[in-house]
Amino acid sequence: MIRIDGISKKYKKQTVLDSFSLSVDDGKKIALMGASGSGKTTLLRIISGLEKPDAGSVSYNGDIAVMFQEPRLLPWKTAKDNICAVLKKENSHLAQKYLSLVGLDDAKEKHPHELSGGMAQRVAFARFLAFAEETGADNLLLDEPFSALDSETEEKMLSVLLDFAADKTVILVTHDDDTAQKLGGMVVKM
Amino acid sequence: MAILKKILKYTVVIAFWIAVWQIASMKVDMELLLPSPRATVERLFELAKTREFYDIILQSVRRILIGTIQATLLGVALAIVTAKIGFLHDLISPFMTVVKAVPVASFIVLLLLWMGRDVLPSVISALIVLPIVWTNMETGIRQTDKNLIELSKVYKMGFFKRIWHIYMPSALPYFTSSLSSSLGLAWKAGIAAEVLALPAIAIGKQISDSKLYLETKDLFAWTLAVIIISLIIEKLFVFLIKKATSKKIRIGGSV
Repeated sequence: MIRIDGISKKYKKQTVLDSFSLSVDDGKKIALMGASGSGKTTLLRIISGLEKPDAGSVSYNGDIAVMFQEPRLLPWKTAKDNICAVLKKENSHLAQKYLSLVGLDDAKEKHPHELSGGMAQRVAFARFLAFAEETGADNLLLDEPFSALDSETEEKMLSVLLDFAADKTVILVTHDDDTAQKLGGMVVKM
Repeated sequence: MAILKKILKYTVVIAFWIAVWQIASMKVDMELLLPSPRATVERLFELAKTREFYDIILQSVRRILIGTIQATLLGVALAIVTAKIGFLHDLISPFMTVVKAVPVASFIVLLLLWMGRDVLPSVISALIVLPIVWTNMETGIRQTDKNLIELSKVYKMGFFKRIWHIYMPSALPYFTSSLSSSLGLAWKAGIAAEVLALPAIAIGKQISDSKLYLETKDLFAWTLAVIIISLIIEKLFVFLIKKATSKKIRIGGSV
């Protein structure tokens, strides 16, 4: 369960979140939607501990795994090594497993600058899944994870996510109504 | 073809300066003041026939390398800490500024009072390398992409993993440029320290002796040897760095 109680956040004089509350039960899926600057990314950053709220609190059971809006790949490592870098040595086989799952078997030895935007995003998605499996994270936070993908690949990745996260709590930020609907949970407009 | 052009260009440049040297020595016409290029090279070959020549070079290289390696390790370790802890940066910074500003000769004379003549060239080389490596590495670490640092936090990478996978590759270009600029300086300062400290077996001692006995040919031959060794060290360093970073590395932000 993820519980967000009266979160407020201001940057300089601009209020991004104003007493925002949300409770997501275990295993439920939430699609967060809203205009740019409505605080979706800020909310995920607060939940993941990267930012502190000015007021309010966040609590959750178990671990969380986060997928950022940008791929954030290490430029000096191959796709496979980018995944291994966040795993324990004994779990490095997960890199291969998830690269195959996102359809990037052929790209595992490529460096980020050799990948297209969509491929880089899928490597980041594979890294996210591998890390979530390793840590057994119950809560998954994804910030526009498929924005660089064509609709066909996006559909495939969404189905990979739904299979993986069948019993996990998911908060997914998206601009796309279709993706929000397919996630099959509640849609929260911010 | 491009290589041939390059070789030709360097040959012309070197030939020009050797000609300038030759003309100057002919004008001066006193081997004692300015030996000719030919006399210098002949003397260098004579020296190179003796085993002592190589012992002397090895000892000087050993001393200067010890100082350089120790200062590099210390500079990197300090940079990792001071880049993250502002107070420690403020604490260390004046020391580095003083080390950079104090003339090498002052250090040599002062340190001669405190330590053995064999150790001094190592310490002087270290004092040249330390502030350069520290400053560059600290800048490199501070320039690390914030997105990648956040990634390492969210993905719970431990301290050593962060250093190894994120900070070190980010700072690598700064590290190589700091070493390539400080190696030559450390070598020259180390030899200067030997000239004043006079360790028993050292290039600096040979230079000092040749001045003492007015063996100008020896002075020139040893100086030529110093230049050649400096070039070899520099080329070797570039080769080793290329080898160590031969995996395709693209420096810049995350994608």
